[in-house]
Amino acid sequence: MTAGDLRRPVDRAGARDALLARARAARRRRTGHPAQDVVLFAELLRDCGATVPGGAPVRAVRALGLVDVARRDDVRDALRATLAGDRAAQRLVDLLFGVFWSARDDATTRTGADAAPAPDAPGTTGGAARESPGPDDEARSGQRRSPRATRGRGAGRRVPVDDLGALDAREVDELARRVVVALRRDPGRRRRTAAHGDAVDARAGLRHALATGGEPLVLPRTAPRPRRTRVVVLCDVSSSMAAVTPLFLTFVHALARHARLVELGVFNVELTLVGEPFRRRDRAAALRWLHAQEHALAGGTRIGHCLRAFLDAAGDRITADTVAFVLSDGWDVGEPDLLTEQMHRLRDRVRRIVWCDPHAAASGHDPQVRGMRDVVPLVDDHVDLSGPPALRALADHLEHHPTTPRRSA
Amino acid sequence: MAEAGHPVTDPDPVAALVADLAATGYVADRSLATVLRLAGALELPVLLEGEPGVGKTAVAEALAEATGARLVRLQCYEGLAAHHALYEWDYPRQLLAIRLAEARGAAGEDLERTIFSEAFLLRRPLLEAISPSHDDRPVVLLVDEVDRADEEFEALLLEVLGQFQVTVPELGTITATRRPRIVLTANRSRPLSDALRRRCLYHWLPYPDTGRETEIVAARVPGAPEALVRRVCELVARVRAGSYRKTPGVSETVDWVRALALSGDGGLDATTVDETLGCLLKDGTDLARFRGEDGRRALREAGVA
Repeated sequence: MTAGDLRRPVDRAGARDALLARARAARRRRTGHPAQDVVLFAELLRDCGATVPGGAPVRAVRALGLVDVARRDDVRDALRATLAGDRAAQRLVDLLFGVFWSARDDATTRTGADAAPAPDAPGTTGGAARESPGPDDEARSGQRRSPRATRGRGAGRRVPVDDLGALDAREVDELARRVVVALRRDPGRRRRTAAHGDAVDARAGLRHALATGGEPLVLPRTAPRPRRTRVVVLCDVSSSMAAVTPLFLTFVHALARHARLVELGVFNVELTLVGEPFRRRDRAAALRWLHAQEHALAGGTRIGHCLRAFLDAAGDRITADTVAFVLSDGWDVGEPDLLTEQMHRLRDRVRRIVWCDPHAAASGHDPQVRGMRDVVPLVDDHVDLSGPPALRALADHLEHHPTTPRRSA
Repeated sequence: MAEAGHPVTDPDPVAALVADLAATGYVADRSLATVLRLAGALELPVLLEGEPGVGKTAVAEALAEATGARLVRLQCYEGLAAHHALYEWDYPRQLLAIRLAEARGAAGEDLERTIFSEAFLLRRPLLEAISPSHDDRPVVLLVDEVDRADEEFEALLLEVLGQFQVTVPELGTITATRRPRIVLTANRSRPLSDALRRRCLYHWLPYPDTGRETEIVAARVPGAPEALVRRVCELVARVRAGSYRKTPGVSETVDWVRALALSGDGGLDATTVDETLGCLLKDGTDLARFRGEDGRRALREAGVA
């Protein structure tokens, strides 16, 4: 990592341009037949990171038969409702729709008497590509831009994440499960059968009584099932973390699968939200996917800036019983005051902050980095996470300290 | 699939739906109306996501009113199980029936068939929507805040959302004679499963822009001065752009305008804002933040003295 890397401006527009370039390339493959073009558009969305279910293009074609194709916005709304399954995918549709369905570069014309008019047929609102953000963005104008849901961009060399070396992923998975179980605190409202539970299950008792002519000979009991821990995770994947990035990503992937994940962000100088991709994919596929994201795994670190973006994006979903995991060495090239301010924001929202620092043991839990020194008073657990043994120690620590006293700082 | 195979005959059915919804007091944009129309024509559920207070639940209520349908609501919460949502056997009545049959000396195989018949079935909202026990009006089923229910509960919904049917082991499969319109709402408090999303049309409801929010508030608070409504909506837009813990929704704006219209001369100044701020911001930290520099800046930008 060089100073140049740290100061290099983040090119948000570059990622957007790359998506639009893909859309233009896909547009050139259009056949002019609506059904085939819808399938191409669905493939384009998948290529750009959206999850488009297999049956969605069929629905989209049926939907196009129901809207007035002379109204370009209606066509976009129909494709958006049928092809996109979440907000990030909808934004992608909004971004790519104008380019893909514009008349420019349309190599061939429609054939066949039964072909319905294409959305960009004469009578539509012009052939110019609509490349502006969707109405959501317009409605919230004035706000900071939300972080990308699937793409990241940093600077500098990329960190290999597929080289797990001697790391035993199954062991990490088991340790993550222990961590999640250790943090379970409150009984949930869902109950399960338990021989010595605190309540009689009247429904089940009556149900059993039907077999004995109405005599309740068996009185099953139930106990509350512990509530799954809600977690948010922020994982530093900058160059300074290269040595531990495989461990960290394997651990956060396991956390995402075992806990009730609110959101997961990886960051360097910019934040990338990866909760959905990590939750959906197995470890190898998730890491491959992340590695394929341009510049997602490199560069310097702006923790305060990324934490602010994370809280802006996910803050409304964080509840008072959520546990926050931050995995970072605290090297921060951003503004120290911003980091402290955003840590206070995080602290106000969550039950507990666990900061996993790969250098904590080496520095005797007395951080030398300015960023780390500022945040340590604000975290509940400043723990070492320099390798699998440290992860075992983390699980032990949380099992022995499932709760923390209310913080005073 | 009544309309799916036919060309559009109505000049603009989406505009008609917007007007029908407006007649019930719900100001919908064309984008939402397009999705609702597609959902009706394709007979697919709609999954509405958005920040709290943007009017997701109200969509289902307005849709039911606009189409003359009966609204069946299932409020989701953690621990919601099949016997709350689908059906339950009326065990006490079954036991009574057994005892009475025994007293008559009529206990036998017929009795088993009798006590596991529809007469002893308690219909919960999902089954009621599929197979209404009374009232032959069409049904709008609202599955509200589905993300509050456990992930296991989503599996229960899949049969209803995909096949519009409910399977009761003792009775067999009950299929909808007339498919209900289904609206699911979620606040993104947890990720929903792909299986659930796949079965729905998806629509994200954003906060309305100032112009549309002005229309909404004017429709909901007809007596409020137009200038007051517009200034309040502009101020709320500025608050939403800030970093508040609980961003105010449309319902908060409506409540605030109601309070302001009641207090004083219906004008907007720093004093009345401060007195009625609890209608807009529902969190102590947010109130403190607004009463500090953040609020002063927002008031200054909105031209409130």
